[in-house]
Amino acid sequence: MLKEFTLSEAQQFGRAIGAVDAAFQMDEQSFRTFYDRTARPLWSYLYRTSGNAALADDLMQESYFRFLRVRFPEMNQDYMKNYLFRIATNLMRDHWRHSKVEPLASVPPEEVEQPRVAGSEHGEQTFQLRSDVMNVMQGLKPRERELLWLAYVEGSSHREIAETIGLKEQSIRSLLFRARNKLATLMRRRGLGAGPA
Amino acid sequence: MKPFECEKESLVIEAVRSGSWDADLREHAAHCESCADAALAARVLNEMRTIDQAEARIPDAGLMWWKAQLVAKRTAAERATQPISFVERFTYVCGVFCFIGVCVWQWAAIRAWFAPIKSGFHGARSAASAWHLDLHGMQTSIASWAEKAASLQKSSLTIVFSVGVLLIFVAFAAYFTRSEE
Repeated sequence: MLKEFTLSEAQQFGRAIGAVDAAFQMDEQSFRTFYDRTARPLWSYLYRTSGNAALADDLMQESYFRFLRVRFPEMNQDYMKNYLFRIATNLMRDHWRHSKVEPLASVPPEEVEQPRVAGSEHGEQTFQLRSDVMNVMQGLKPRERELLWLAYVEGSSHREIAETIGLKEQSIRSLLFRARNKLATLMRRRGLGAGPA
Repeated sequence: MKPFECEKESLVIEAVRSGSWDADLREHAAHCESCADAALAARVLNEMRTIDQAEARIPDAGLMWWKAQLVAKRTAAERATQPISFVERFTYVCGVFCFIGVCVWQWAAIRAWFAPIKSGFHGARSAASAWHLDLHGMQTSIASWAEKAASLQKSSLTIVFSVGVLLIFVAFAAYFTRSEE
């Protein structure tokens, strides 16, 4: 790397640094509000679909970095939230593709990361439930986990799910139906199907 | 299996997410297989979410904002110095190619340049093997080598100078093209 800059290079460098402040569409206050609303759901989505808490931390951070650089046509909170989940989904896929790390579906049950905090009020019950659900989730493909989480936890519409996952809207219905049947069957086998409420 | 979705399924999922069931919907979910599956999946997944939300250690929004700004500044700095490092790399590559090109082009002259050294070395080796050093022969070799080197230096300098000037022009042209982009 060159150690000395010419004047024009220094000016160019300064302009680029100064442009960072204008590069984010959001101001800090708007970001804080948006972050407080979306960070926990996003982390939960990443953790449940990847089965790895550390990976969820990294991907969540990177998702927000990329999200802040996007220029949105309008500051619609729901649209921005879906866009954030879309970035996170793509990052997770890239991670699996490039690092050759196996998605949760092919990891043996004993290697699945277990809860990092176990000292809550209903600790034992929580631990057991999480362990059971993690095992059930292992029986699903990554895409099925994404579909189910977005539909049943985030309450996303078929169109929003299609945009987030990158599939056709028409195919979401049948994919979701199959994933849900698979999940329900696996849950009942583990004795988790106790009733609707 | 043909996908079947009950018309009340979305209501059932919303009831599980919000936790507010009415009696009719609960009754329906108990008898409709599709809604029962949806309720089961939604209930367990939402319980997991509740646990995660309580236990996840999420960094503070201010910290995330600060980090995002740092990353953006670093990216901007990398982008600003990109043309400079490109020209640097380009110049190195051009230099190597020019050196190889000149060597190939002037191979005969280079060989002639080093011939006196080779013959001098050969002569010294044969003399040493015979334990008889011909100092006069060495002096003649060195004098002839210096003479050839001086004449070659004149033409070589012209070539090197021309290539150098060309290289500088190419580097400047590449730099301005890249910075315009």
